[in-house]
Amino acid sequence: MKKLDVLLYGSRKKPIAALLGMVLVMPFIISSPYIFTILILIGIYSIITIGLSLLVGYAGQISLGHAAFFAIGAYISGVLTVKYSFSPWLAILIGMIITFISAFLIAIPVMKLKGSYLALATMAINIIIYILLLGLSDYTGGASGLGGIPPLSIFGLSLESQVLFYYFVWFIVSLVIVFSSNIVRSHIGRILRSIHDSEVATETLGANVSKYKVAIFALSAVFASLAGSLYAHFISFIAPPTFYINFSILLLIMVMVGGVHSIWGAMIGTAVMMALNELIRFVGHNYLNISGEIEIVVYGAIIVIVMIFMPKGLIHPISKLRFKKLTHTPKNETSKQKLFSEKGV
Amino acid sequence: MNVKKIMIMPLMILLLVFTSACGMFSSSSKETAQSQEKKGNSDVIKIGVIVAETGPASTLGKTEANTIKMIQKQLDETGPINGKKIELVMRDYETDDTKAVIAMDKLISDGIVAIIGATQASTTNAILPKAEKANLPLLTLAPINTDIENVYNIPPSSATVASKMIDYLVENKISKVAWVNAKDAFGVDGLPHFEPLAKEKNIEIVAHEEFDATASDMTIQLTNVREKNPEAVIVWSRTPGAGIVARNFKALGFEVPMIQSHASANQGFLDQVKSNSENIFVVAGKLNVVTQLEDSEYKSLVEEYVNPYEKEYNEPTDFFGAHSYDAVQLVIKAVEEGNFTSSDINNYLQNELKEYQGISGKFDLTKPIEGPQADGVTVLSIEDGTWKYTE
Repeated sequence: MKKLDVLLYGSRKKPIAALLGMVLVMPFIISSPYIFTILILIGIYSIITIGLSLLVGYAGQISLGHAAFFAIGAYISGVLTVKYSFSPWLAILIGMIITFISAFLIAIPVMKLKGSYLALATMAINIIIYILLLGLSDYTGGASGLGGIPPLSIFGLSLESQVLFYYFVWFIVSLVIVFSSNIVRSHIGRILRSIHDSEVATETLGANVSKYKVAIFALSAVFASLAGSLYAHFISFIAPPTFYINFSILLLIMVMVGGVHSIWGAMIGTAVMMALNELIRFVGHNYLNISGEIEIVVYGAIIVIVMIFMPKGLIHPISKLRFKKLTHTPKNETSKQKLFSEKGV
Repeated sequence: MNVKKIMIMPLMILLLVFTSACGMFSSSSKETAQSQEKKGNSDVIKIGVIVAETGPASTLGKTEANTIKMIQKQLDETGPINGKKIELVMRDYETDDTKAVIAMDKLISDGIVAIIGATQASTTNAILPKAEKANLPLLTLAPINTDIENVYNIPPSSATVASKMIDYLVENKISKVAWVNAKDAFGVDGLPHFEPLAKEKNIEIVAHEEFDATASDMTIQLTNVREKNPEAVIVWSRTPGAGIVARNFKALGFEVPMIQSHASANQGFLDQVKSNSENIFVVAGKLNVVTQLEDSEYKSLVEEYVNPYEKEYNEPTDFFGAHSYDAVQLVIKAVEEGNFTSSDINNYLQNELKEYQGISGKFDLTKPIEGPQADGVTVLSIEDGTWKYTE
């Protein structure tokens, strides 16, 4: 129990238990494969957005190219399993290692850039990977895509069943949350937040800022790679358009809407945006007789609303409510905010 | 109203939206369970349709979607068939594979008996495993290659279209061609089918160029092509890329013919090339020139589709709309003959119907993956902004 307390930092137990409880109960309430597909995709995308939250929210470094690392994971898994009959697990691992190395090497020059230059550079990475996916058609299947990617199986149990895959994905999400929140609570997390506030000040304190920036970029890329592999084995077919810049932008929107300074916020943002997307399609199709990219208009409106009224994202008011419940004495706003920040949620 | 309340309000609205979404989703899941139980016994037969009504592939998907809406209207007017109301449940996947997969799951949850789609070959491949798992007949709107059973290629295969191009080249004694294609799933599919047929007829491919499907200028590719002095340029791309190549072709002053694939046989292409249509030929469905065809059973069949479509939308349809028309008609025919479940529909199409004259061509349903024969396809030229039948 003490070990668990150390691992989960005490205060993290309740939200993780609540998340696992919700995940466990869901299959007893719903049976639709459609809902499970949405929940699985929310889980997969959450893995990327949590990584993005570490990079954007904590370290203050923007990325508009994470779909590229999602693509690397998906394609390494796909190519190794389909063309070279590798074990999917080994392929996932190789994907993560290759992504880490390539993201690390990319980050060394790219992380020296700031603001819009950094955004453009990461966008360029996305475009380069997209062109490579199309060009290396002997391996990737090019524009026709790569099909027949095998489903995952664990201890002889096939995860082809949606419910099992759902449980598996959310188990991975829980691990990613625990791992990420521990990073946030460690001294690395404090340095990252310090970099976010002022790189110069952090440097003067003796921290090697670029080392931490490169490391967190590579780590968030690994998360995206893992998610990409899971996506490939779940959908069983991948094609380049899935990994274009618009997906990178959507990921960033998810993180911003949920709360860029919080890994829980990243997950909530992902879930809200996915649910909203489906809701817009449902309402648009069934009641307004409109279809298509109407959600882009709604996305825009939501971002404006969230940025004006909740610049810290949806997680901020939720955390405040939770904090009120826990303490019952919400007297000092400043100390409350301080504690919220120290918890690093 | 204080600032806190203002901040909380949008959050509450969002939560409300989210909760209502979950409510709707769960109610639909309950309906699903019930509808799946009743599948076959229900008074409503649901046919799923996945098309790219919007997004980059909407140049093809729009007429498909319009055709589906028109058929639904006709079905509602005629009333139940064999005591069953046919409902075409259409989902727009916005040219996004992931959205198509989600839509597929939603349709399976809704209890569909067959699936028609998707607009693009790559997307069709993405939804294929789910159709196979649910044992649904999949009637494709883009030709695909697979050994999975119960897949019906409704468009003519790329080989069939390529053979029509070869016929044109042979007739016009052309033996040196340049090949230009878009670098997307449709674009890269043509050459592997054209190449062996060309070899058989001693037609040499002297140049091969590719362009990005979203590019706005293909002058570089055409300049490279010109250096090889081809006797014809073949383009395998969908609009708008196909139209841009045609405009660049004219601007560069080529004097040889350009032959475009069937994905250019739509009004969008005509609008793009406008008066620059000299020497440009397109492999198209005969429905594009239905008024120029001789009276026949086939012509009447095409008119049954084309005339109401033009009346409904006040614009011409195209070969892609015809594919969705053929696909729906095949399932309706199965329902008319008393087949209400997926397996019965499959059995009827392959073992009882066997042959079917569609607008896209004549189908041998015992070999559903081969698609229709070339009888529905022709090579058209363009005159005064309209299609000209040349055969």
